[in-house]
Amino acid sequence: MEEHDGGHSVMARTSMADDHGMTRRTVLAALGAFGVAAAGGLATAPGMAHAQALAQNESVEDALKRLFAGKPMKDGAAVIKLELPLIAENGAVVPVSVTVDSPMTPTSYVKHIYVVADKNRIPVVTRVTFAPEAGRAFMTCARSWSRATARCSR
Amino acid sequence: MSDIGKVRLRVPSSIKAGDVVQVRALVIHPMERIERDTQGKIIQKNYNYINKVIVTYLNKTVATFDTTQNVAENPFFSFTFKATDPGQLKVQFLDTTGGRYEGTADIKFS
Repeated sequence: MEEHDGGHSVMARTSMADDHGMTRRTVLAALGAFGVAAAGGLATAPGMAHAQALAQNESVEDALKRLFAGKPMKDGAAVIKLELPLIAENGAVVPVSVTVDSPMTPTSYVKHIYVVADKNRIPVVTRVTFAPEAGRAFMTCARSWSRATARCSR
Repeated sequence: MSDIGKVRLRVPSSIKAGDVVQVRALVIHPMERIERDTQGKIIQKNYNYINKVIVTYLNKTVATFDTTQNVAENPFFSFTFKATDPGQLKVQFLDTTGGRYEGTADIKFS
């Protein structure tokens, strides 16, 4: 089978000031395994069952351990671009976009992008699964930060 | 809330064969957030929110979003796909109450 890099994961970090400007929050976009050969149980799990498993009340460490099962985590600052506004006009709708600088060929492509917010009750916000036909590993989703803020102030 | 499930897709006006095209998809949906009782405990119920977005192009799944309750009300998503042939791009939104909303766009080359 085609070569892959053994299912490494890379991640990028950035932070932003929240609505009250009091704390900074770290957002973490962790990128799933490269390559089709790295297909683990994640991609094959039935959608519904997995969607429920995806949203769990747990710590970030536990979430990462669960999602990546102890795969070595590399610094992805060079390949992952995480974009979000420095100050959001409306905390309820904050666009987060992630671009991964990686070829998207049938033998080597970005399979998943995970967006994880570490101050969240449920840290895993979104998981995107790609096919090579996507052309580029890119996603945006509008994410509510005010809810996370409410959580932190408690 | 009669607008629930209205889907809008935004594709660039001119697409050439082989382009990697960026698309924006928006759906009108309340995306119910967590509610708490007076003691601050989370009320357990089936919250209505979108937990899956499926993007298909030429009947092939290009990208799938698994979303949790943290995604904003009336969410928008963007993604790319490689325009190889003219055909239909379809985005389906599935919510936790069994709702299924979809939007389509015809991809033509100019």
